[in-house]
Amino acid sequence: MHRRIAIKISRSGLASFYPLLQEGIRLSVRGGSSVLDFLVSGIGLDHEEIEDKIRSVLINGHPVDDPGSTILKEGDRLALSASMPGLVGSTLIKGSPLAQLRSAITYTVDKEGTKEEGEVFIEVRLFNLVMKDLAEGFLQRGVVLSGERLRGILMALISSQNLKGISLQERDVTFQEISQYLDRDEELLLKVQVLG
Amino acid sequence: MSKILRINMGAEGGPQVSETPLGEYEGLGGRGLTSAIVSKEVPADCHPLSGENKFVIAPGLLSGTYGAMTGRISVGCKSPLTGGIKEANAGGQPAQVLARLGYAAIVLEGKPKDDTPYKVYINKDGVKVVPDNTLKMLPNYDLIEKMKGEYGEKIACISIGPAGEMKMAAASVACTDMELRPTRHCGRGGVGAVMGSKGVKVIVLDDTDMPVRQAKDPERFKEANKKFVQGLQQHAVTGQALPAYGTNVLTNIINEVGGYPTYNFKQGQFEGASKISGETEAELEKQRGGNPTHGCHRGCVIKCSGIYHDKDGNYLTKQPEYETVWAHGGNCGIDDMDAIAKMDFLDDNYGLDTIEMGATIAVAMDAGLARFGDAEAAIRLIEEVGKGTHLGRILGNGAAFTARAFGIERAPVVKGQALPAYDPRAVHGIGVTYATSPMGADHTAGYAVAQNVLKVGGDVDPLKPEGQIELSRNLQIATAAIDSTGMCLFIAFALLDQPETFQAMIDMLNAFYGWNMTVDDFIEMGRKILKMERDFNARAGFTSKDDRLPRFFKTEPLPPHNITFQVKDEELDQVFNW
Repeated sequence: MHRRIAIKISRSGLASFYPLLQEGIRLSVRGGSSVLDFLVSGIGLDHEEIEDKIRSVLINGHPVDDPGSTILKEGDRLALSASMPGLVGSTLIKGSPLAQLRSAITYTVDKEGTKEEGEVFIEVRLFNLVMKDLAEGFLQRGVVLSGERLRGILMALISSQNLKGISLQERDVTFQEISQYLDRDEELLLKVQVLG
Repeated sequence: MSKILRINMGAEGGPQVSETPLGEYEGLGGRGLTSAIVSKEVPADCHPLSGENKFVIAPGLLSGTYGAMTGRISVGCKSPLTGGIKEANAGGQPAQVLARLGYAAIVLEGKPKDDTPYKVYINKDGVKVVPDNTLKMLPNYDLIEKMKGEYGEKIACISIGPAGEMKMAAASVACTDMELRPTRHCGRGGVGAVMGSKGVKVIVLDDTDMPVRQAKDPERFKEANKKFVQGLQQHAVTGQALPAYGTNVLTNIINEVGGYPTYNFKQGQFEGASKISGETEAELEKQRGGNPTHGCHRGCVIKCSGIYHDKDGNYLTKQPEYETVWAHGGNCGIDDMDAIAKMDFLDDNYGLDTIEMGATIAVAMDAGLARFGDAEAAIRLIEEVGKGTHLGRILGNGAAFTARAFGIERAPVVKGQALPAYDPRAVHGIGVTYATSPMGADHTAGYAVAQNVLKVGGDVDPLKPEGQIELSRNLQIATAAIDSTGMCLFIAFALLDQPETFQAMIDMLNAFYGWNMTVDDFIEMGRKILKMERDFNARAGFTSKDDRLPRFFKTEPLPPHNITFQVKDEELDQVFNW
C-alpha cells in the first residue's frame, strides 16, 4: 500500500503537472479492463467525450485502432492524444484511412491472451489537448509517483501560490511535515483536488 | 497577376528588366508555375549555379486576395543540393504583396559578371535593380533592418543571408513575416544558393496604393471563403491543436511511437523529448511573455506559429517548428529548448535550412566534431557556417557533403537532401514518399489529403499491402495541386475529414477566376505538375535508383520496435507507374 497524500490546488496550478503527465503517471486499473473500459469506468469519461477528444491511443508505442478490444496488462504504457497534424500524425488516428502507412507498428489484439485478475498498474502519458482537457480527471483519481518527483511539483505549486492545502493519510499537514517522505526512496499515492 | 517579371542579371551593361505576359503559363501559380518555368526553360543538365539556371518566385493562385490562408510563396530552380528540380515554399507577407503588385512570377536569369550584391525594389511605379556593396554578407535580420531604414515599414522582403551569398547547398531564402522579421524560409534544396548565384541579395516589395485582387464573382468568392474558414475553425487540428501548440505538438507522439529519429537516426525514441515538446514550448512562451498562437501572414486563421522569448523576456526567434526542434534537438541529442531556439535564430539569420543543418550537425557529431547532446558545440558549428570558415563551408553544403568529407557512412539523405523528422522504419508510408518525391526527402511532398475524400486514382483499400504505394502517389498528386494555390498545406487536415471544406476551396478558385474546375480537374493539375518535375529529373539523369532510401534503413533495425524499412524496390518503382 502506498502512503496517501492529497493536495488542493487552484486551477492555474494544473500546469505544474504538465511535465509529469507527458512523461507518465502510474495508476491502478482493474485487471482485464480494455482501454475503453478504463476510460469510461476508471476515469469517468463518456463515450462521446472519448470519441471527440481522444483521437490517438497508443499501447507501448503501438497505435491502437480498436480501444474496446485492447486489454490493459500489468506494466503497459498507455498514451492518449488529440488529433495531430502532418501525414504521420494523421496515420496515428484510431482507424485512420491512412492506417496502412504505419502498419508495421500497429497494435495487434491478442485474442488468445489471458485476462489478469485483480489490480494491475499501468503507466499513462497524456499529450497536448488531452493533457489540458483531461488532466484533472486523472489526477483526481489518484496517481503513483516518486517522492522526489512530488517534491518538485509541490515546490512549483508553492512558488506560484497555487497550493491550497495538503493532507497525509487524510490528516491536514504542512509542507514541512510531509517533507521527510519526499526524500525517501518511496512511491506515494497522490490525489489532487482542483479548486474553482 | 497577369505578367511575369524577368530580370536578366547577366545582361551586357548590367541587369535588364522586362515583363512578359503569362502566355502558356496561364492558370498556373505557386509550385505549378515555378516547376513549369524551370521544366521548360532550364536545361536539365546545366550546373545549378550557372547562368543557365533560373530562379523563379511565384505567389499562389489565390495570393493577394481576401481569401484565408493564401500567403504561401514558392521558389523554384534546379537544386544545387539534389541536382534535380526544386520547389520550396514559405509563408510570410511577400506572396500577398507580390500578387497585389500584379506579378504572377519573378524570374531571375543569367549570371552577373562579378560578386556585387544587388537589391531589387518593386512598387506601383516599377522596378529598380540597384547594386549595393554595403549589403555584402549581411545576416538577414541586419539586412531587413537596413531595408526598413531605407524603404519604411510597409514593405515585405525576400532575401538571402551569408549562406546564400556563399552559395552553400543548405542556404535558404528568407521571407519577412507580419512583424517584418526574416523568419519564414523557403528552406529546402539550397534555393538560397541559386538566388545568391544571381547576385540578388534582397527583393523589397511595396504594394502601397495597390488594390487587393478582386474575384470575377466577388459574392461567390466571399461565400466560399466564409465556408472555408468555418471548416478550418471547426476542425480539431486546424482549430485547436495547431493554434495551441504549433507543429511541435508532434514531438511527444512521434517519440511515443518510436518514429522520432535520434542520434543521427540510430534510435526511434529520445529520452529528453518531453523537455522540448510543443506542450513544454508553449508553456515556456506564455511564462516569458511570448505567444504560442500567432499567424505568419495576414489572412492566416490557423495561427500555428508563435513568438519565442529568451529567459529575460526578450524576443529571440519565432516559435521553432517541429522539424527544427527535432533537427537541432533530438537528432543531435539536445534537450535544451533555449539552445534550440538560438539555433533557429542563427539559421534564419545566416539563411540556412533548419532541417538540413540539424541533420548535418548530427552527421558531424557522428564524425566526432562534437559530442551528441553538446548544445554549445552545435551552436559553434552553425557559427562556423555563418562565418564561412573552411569547416563551415563543408557543413553549409549539407548532410551528404559533410558525410563524404568526413568519411561517414550514415548519411540520412535521399537525392542528396536530408530526411526530416519521421523515421521511415516506423512509418513505412512516409518512407515511400521520401524515396520517390522528385524533390528529395520531403515530409511535405505527400500530405494528409485522403484518397477517400479526393478519390485520386479511384478508391484504394488502405488495408491492402499495396495501399501505401497508391496512397503515397495520391498524396503527392494532391499536395502538388495545393502547393499551386498559395494556400498553406495545413489546410489539408480539414480537407481530410470535411469534403465540404475541400469543395469550398475549389469554389474559391472558381469564383475568383471564373472557372468551372472540378475535383478531377484539380487532381489533374497536381498530376501534370508531378509529371513535369519527374520529366525534368529524368533529363537531369535521375533513374529509379535515385528513388531509394539509404541502405541502412533496410539493414539496421530501429529501436524500440526493432524494425527495418520493408517496402521493396519494385513497389517503390510503381509509385509513378501511371
